Amino acid sequence: MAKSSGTSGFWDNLFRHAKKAGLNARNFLLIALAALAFTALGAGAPPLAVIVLFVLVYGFDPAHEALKAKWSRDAVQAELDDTRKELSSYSARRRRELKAAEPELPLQLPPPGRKGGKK
Amino acid sequence: MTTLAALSWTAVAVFLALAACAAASRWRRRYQMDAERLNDATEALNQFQRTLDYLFDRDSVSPFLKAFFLDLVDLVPERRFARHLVVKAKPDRVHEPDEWGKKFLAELSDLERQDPAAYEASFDALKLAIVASILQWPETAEHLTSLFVRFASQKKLDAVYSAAEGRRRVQHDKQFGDAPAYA
Repeated sequence: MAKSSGTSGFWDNLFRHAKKAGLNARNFLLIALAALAFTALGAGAPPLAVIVLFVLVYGFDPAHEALKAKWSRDAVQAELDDTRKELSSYSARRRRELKAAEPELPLQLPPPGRKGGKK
Repeated sequence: MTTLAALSWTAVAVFLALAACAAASRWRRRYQMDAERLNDATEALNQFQRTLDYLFDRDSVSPFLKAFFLDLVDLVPERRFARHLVVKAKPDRVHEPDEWGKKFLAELSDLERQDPAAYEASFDALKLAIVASILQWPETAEHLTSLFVRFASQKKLDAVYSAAEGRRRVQHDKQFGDAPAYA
């Protein structure tokens, strides 16, 4: 492993130890926002506005990720719908071909038979 | 505002923010799993179509079996078919073959003798149709494993026949307005 040097090594080590202790960027943000909110409330800011702002700022990133996942899922769903349509037209084409080749073949299955009982 | 009140409101804000984040993460995971499931369903449908292409190009596959697969294609996108497969196509629900069933099994046996590759392909097509059908809907996708254990424990022809039976029953319900296949 390459030995880090200078200031960058210092910060790398600092953040590595911080991560081990559970102090990741999200938790830093939470603590910083809590301190800000506490200060704002102490200065007389309306609690509702502070709470809404807090949730919006802290929840922006996860909400954005969730939205991206939703858009990605919608794109896959659209692809599946296209495949279904393609399969349906494929079936219609094959059915026409089969009907032309075998005009006497019934292309719908008979209803299920009940006689004979269960196996 | 007193320090205690400010501290309380801050705690409320922290709690709500964490709850909102947890909810967003849960939604993200759900959408990701949905996307993977739908992607697999699309892939299964594409493979199903390729397998059908192979089967329709073989002269050894009888028109009777080709007609069966075409009927299956029409049912694969239907939610009721998937629900029927996971709920009702159990081994104890397989009926003794009637006239159509006997012909279907005889055609498959003939195909196995004449063209083993096409026989395997027709079994693959049926498996792909089942996988594609079940993976399209969240409530049926979770039964995929148990369904395959069930099919694996059956003889190959019985498994094919029970799936064919399921296909016929859904078609029959649709045509004649019986009670829904999935209750």
